[in-house]
Amino acid sequence: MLKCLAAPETNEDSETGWTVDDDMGLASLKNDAIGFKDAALAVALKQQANAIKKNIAHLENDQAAILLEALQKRSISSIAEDNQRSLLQIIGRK
Amino acid sequence: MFFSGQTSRIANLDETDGLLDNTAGQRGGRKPIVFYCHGVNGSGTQANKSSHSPTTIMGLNADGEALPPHFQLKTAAKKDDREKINADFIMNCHNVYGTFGHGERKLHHCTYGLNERAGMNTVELEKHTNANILPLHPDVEDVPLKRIILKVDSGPGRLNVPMLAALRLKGVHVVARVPNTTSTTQETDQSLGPFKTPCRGNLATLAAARFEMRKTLRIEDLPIIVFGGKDPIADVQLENAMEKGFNQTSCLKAWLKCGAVPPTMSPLESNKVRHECIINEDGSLNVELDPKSLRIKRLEGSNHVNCNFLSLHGMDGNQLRINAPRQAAKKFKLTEPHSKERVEATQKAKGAGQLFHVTQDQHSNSEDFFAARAKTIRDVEVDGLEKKEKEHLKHKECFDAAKKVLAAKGEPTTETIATHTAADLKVLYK
Repeated sequence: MLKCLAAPETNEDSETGWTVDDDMGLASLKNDAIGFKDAALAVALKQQANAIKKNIAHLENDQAAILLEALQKRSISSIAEDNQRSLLQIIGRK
Repeated sequence: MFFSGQTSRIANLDETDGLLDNTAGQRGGRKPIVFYCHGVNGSGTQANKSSHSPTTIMGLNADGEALPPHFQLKTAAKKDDREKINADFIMNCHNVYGTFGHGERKLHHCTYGLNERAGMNTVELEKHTNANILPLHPDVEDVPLKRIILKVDSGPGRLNVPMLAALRLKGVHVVARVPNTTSTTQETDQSLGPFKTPCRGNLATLAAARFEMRKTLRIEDLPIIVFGGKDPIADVQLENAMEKGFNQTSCLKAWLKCGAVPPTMSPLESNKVRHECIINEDGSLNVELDPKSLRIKRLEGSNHVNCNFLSLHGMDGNQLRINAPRQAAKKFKLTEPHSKERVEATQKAKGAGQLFHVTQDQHSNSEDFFAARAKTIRDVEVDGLEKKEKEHLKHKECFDAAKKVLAAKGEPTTETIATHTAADLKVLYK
C-alpha cells in the first residue's frame, strides 16, 4: 500500500488496471440500448460492403447507378445531420 | 390474402434420407399377392442394402413449385481439392422447372454437397442457402414485395447467427416451424409421402433388375431413382418420383393441408396435434389458444362422472380417473416486438421450441433475435468489467484508509512506530 501511495497519481489504478475509460465503458454498456452496430447485422453489412467494394468493377451500370444514388442520398443526409448538430451546438453556446 | 406473386416467395425446406436402402423403409400401400410353394426354395424378395446414406433436401414454394433438390453426399476427402463427384451422378440429375423470382418459367439445376457424414450441418446449410435458394430469387431485397420467407425446421445450423444476419440483410426471413408438429405443419413432409412411395418402388425394381445381371446399385443411381427414366445398365423404365410427389397440384395441396396458404390455421383442429386445456388467470378456459379446450374439459368431466359412478357401486373408480392436460395461458403470453421483455425472453430461449414461443412465429432473423444475441455478448462484457470494478473499489477503499493513516500519523519510522496501532500498520502494509 505504501508503494502505491508513493506512485504518481494517474487515471489508472496501478493494482487492478481500472481506468476512467473502463468506468465510462461499463456505464455505457449498462445504459445504452442495443443498436444495429452492436448486432451481428453490422458485421454482415460490413462484409457485404467489402464484397461490393472488391467487386465494384463487375457491377452492371444500372446497379452501380442505384448504389451511387443511395450513397449520395446517405452523404446528403449525413451533411444535413452534421449541420443540424453544429446549429444545436451554436444555440447551446448562446 | 396475398399480394400478386408473393406466394412464390414463401418456401419450405426439409431433408430426407438418401433412399438407397430398401431393407428398412416402408413403401406403403397394399402388399402384392405372392404365390409360393413349400417345396420350392428362394421365394424371398431381394432388397438393396446400403450403408451409404446420403441426405436429400427437398422443398416447395406456396405457388406450387418444387425447389430443385440438393443432394448431400459422403466423401472421405480431407481437403477440398480432393473432393470428387461421379459425372454419372450429375448426368442422371434432371433440371427442375420453376419461375421463383425470375419472372419467367425456366430450368433450375440441382445442387450437390460433400461432407464426411453426408448430412446437413451449419456449414452445409449456409452453403445450400447461398448456392440453391438465393439464385432462385435474383431480385431478393429487404423491401416490401421483394422479401423471401424460408420456413425451416429445427436442426443444426438453423440458428447460425452470421448466416441469419447475412440472409436478413439480403431480405430472406427465416421462419421457424412449430416444433414437434412435422406431420401437420411441414408442407414438404406432406409431399414426401407421395414422393417416397415411387422412389422405393424404383429402388426395388432397379435392385431386382441389377441383381439379376449380378450387378449392384451405386450412389450414382440415386438421381435415376428420384427422377426416373430408363436405366442404361439394366434397361428398365423407372417412374419420375419427383413429378409424382412434387407436382403443382400436390404442392398446393400440401400448403392447403398445413393451413398456411391460404392461412386457415387448420392444424389447430387436427387430431394429430396434442390438445390441452388452456387456463386463463381467472380459471376460465381459453378457447382462442386451443379451440379444443372445451371439448377436452367436457371429456374430463364425463370421465369423472363415470369414475364416481363406479366408486359409488363399490368399485375402485379412481383407477380409471384421468385429468385433462392443462397449461396456464400466461405461458403463451405475448411480448411486444422490439420490447425489452421480448429481447430478454429471446435471450433465455435455449432451443428452437422455446424460441418459437418467444418470437410468436416471427422470423428467426428478426431484430429482436440479433439484439438478444448481442445482449448475451454484452452481458459477458459487463460481468467482466463489474468484477474488475469491484476489485478496484476494494483497492480504493484500502488506499483511502492508508492515506487517512498517513495524513494523521505520518509514515511509520523507528521513532514514530510507537504512535501507530496494529490496525494502522495492517492498513499500511496490506
